[in-house]
Amino acid sequence: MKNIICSSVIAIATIASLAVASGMPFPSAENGKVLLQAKDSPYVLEQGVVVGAADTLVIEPGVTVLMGEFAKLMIQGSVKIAGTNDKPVIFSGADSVANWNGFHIMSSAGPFEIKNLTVENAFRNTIFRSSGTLENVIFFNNYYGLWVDESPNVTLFHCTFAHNRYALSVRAGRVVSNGTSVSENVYGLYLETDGKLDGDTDLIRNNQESDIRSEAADLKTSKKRVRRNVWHNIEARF
Amino acid sequence: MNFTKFSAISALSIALFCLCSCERNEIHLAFNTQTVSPQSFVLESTLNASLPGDSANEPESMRTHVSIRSTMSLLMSYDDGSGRFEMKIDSVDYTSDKRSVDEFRNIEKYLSIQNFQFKLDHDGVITDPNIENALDMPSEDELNLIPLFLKAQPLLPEKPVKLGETWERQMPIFGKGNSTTTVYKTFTLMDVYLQDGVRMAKIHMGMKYLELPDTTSNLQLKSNDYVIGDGDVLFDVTHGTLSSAEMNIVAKLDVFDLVAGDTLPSMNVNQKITLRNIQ
Repeated sequence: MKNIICSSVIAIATIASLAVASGMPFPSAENGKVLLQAKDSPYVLEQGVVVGAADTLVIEPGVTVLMGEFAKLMIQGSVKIAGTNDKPVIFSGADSVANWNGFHIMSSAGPFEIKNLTVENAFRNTIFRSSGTLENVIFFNNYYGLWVDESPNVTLFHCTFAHNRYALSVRAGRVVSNGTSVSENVYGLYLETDGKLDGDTDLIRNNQESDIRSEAADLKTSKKRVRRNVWHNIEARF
Repeated sequence: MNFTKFSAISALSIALFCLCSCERNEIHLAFNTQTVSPQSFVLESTLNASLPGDSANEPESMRTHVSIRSTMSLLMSYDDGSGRFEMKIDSVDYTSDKRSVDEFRNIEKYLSIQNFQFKLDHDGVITDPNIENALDMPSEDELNLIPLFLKAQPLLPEKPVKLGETWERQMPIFGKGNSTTTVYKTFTLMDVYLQDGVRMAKIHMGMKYLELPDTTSNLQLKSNDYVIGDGDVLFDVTHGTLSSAEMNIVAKLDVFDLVAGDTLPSMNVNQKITLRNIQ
C-alpha cells in the first residue's frame, strides 16, 4: 500500500509541475451537468467554484484537477466521481508547497458516489449534511483529510488516510468504516462529542500522536465543558 | 472637464452648507459619496469569551485577534447622493488560542480575498454588501469581515445637529444564510473642533442588539439580554470621511447544543473593534 501511495504522489507531483502553466479551466454547468472528461484533463481550478443544488458533478476516470492556492470546490448538487483502479481521479494542489482549500460536499440532492479518487494537499475536505459512500478514496498529505459534520450516514469503503495531520474527524454524525486504513498520520481518528464511527477500527493504527481520540474524553479529563466548535461559532457570530 | 466642474461645485455646495449650518450653531454631517478619493483603513477586533468555572469544572476562555488593512474606493456615484464602493483587503493578521498556526494561515488566506462591495448613502447607511470572491453557504464557523465593519460604522443624522444633540438609527447586519440582526445605534455629538485646518466631529456611539438563535443550526447562541456596545467616532467633517471608530461590546450568551442536548449558560463575551483611517 505504501508503494502505491508513494507512486501516486510522485505521479501527481509530476503532473502538477507539467500542467500548472496549462490546463483546461474548470467547466461551468451545462444542462444541469458539470462534466469533467479524461480527454480534456488536466483541469485547473484557480479559485472557488460552486456546483449548484440543481446541478450534478460528473467526473470521468483518469481526470486530474489541479487546484490553485485559493481553490475551493463546493458541491451542493449531486456528485458522481467515477475513477477506476487503473485510472483514478486526482484532486491535487497545483503548487506543491501551498495548500488548496479543499472539497466541500453540502448536498441534499441524494447520496454522493465517489470511487477511486486521490485527494492531496488540501487544507480541509468536508462532508456537511450529506450522505453517501467513498470507495477506494486516498486522502494524502492534507491538513484535515476528511471532516464529517452533521452527516448521519457516510460510508468509507476501503479508503486510505496517510500523511495527513488530522486524518479523519467526525464532528456530528455517523461514519461507517469498512476496510479503511488510517495510518502514518499525525492524528488518526478524532471524534468530537457528537460523532460516531462504526465498523472496522483495527486499521486505525501507527499514527504518530494518537490513533483514536475523543473530545468528550479529553474534556472530561481536563474538567472542561466547552467544545472547540462552540468557541468557533461564538467567534463567527461576532 | 465636466467632472472637474461637478466636483468643484459639489465641494463648494457642501462647504457653503456647512458654513450656513455652523452659523446657526448646527453642523451637517455627511459622508462624501460622490468625489472621495481612496481611503486606507486598519480594522482590528479583539474577542475574549469565557465560561466561569464551578465546583466540577475549570474556568475556560478564548482569545482571538484579527487585524486587517484595507482600501476603500468609490466605484460609482449615483444621482440619489449615494455611491457604490469596494473594500479591498490588502493584508490580514489573525491569531486565536483555539486554533493551530496552520489554521491561522488558512484563515488569513481566505479572509485576504474577501473583497466586498456595498452601497453607501451620505448618512452612512450601508446596503447591499456582497463579498466578491466568497462562495455561497460558508460553513458555520467561518469568519466574515462585513459585520465587523458594520458594527464600527457610524450612522449620521438626517438633518443638521447641535452640540449635545442625540439621534437614533437602526441598521441590519447580515449573517449566515438569510439571517439578519437589527442593531440599534444611538449617537451624541460631543465636540466639534479644528485640527490642522480640518473640521472634526467627535461622536459618542452606543449600540444594542439581541443575539437570536439561528434556527437552522444545531448549535444555537442566544443573548439573555441586549448585547451592549459603547464607543466613540471621529468624523472628518471637511472631507466627509470616517477618521476613526472604536466600539467595546459586552454580551452574555446561552449556548444550546441541540445534538448533544447540552446547555452552556452565561458565557461572557467582550469584543473591542477599532477602525482607523490611515491615509
